[in-house]
Amino acid sequence: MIDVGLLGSIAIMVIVASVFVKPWPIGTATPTVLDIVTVPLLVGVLVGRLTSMAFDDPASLTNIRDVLVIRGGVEFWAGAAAGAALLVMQARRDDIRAEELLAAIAVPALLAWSAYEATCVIRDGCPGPIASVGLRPTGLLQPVFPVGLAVATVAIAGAALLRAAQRRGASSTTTVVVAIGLVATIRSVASIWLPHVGDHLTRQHRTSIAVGLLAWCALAVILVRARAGKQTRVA
Amino acid sequence: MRPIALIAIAAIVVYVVTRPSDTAGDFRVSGSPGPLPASGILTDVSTADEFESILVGQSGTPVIVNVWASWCAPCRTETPLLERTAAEVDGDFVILGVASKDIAPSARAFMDEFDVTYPNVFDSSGDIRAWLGVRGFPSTYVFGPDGVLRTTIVGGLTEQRLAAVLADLGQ
Repeated sequence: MIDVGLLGSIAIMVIVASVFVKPWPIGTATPTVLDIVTVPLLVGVLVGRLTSMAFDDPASLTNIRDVLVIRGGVEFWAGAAAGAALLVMQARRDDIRAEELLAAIAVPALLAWSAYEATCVIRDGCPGPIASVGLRPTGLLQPVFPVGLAVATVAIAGAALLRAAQRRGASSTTTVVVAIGLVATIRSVASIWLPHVGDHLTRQHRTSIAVGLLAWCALAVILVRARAGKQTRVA
Repeated sequence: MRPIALIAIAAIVVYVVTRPSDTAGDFRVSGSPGPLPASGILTDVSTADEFESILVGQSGTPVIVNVWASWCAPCRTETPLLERTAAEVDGDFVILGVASKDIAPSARAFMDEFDVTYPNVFDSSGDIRAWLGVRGFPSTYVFGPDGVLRTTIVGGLTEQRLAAVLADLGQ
């Protein structure tokens, strides 16, 4: 059975990324939307799915039909890393700096992710904690706070902040690290409210916290080094 | 690119507005109560009446009926989630599997592979499938403690959706 809601979400995500990411010349190369949006996304989804299966049901890795059941779970950070790795390979192929390419797609990627989260409405009705005001997904008697919509809103605000930082001259590396930190933080906080079975932290919650900590530590190191470099030049 | 994007968004909006609801409407179990099948084994239930009596017997407790088959890929991905959920909600909810459109040895092997411990019945005649109006595999039917069908989820379950349903039932 084709999961139309999920396919619709992915289609909207690709459309949003394609609208906001302009193929631009970097050095002598002009990447296409296919290069920097569609193929990395497909590779990311595939790797994320395989990683999720490896954790949850390694025996099913040999069955191609199981791989296609995207709804069964996609490991977000493994997928994101795979998509980014593909972009780095493309950058090397085109002889451009990888961090420039990643920084250029950071804002469109955040907007695309926010579009995916906002389309929780067509996937599963935006689950969340029971609240006095909110959406009422099909089959529930009480309204729930739509965590997906809140995530989308915060992600759009994050994209706007990141764009402002880029305009004020933030380096490519800083842009990429801040984008990762923003996504990880938003996912970590959202995971507190997303419904889950049991009282333990979910795997996506734990990995988002770990990635967020790494990203903000990396940003601190970058800022300290930048300040030290500036002082050395002044001296 | 932009006209194509607008057409695609319009098509998705039309789908969302016109798609059929997952809710099954007013559907309530009735009849004489029967016992819940033993946990962890596949019990042959050949008539819809017999199956309905199992649901009636659970009156006062929400029941989540999951219709699956060993050949169904999404069933494979959601079974570990259901098994984990069954362990977490033991006593508060009943999770009842229905193996349908399948052959018994394959269904048993499937249960063994995933160490399924919650009760499961084997729909040998297809009556249960017809009675529930199964439209696709897997399908999950959520019955409230009053025996009224709250919702039907056709296709794979996500942990978030299932947990939201449990939270709603538990309030």
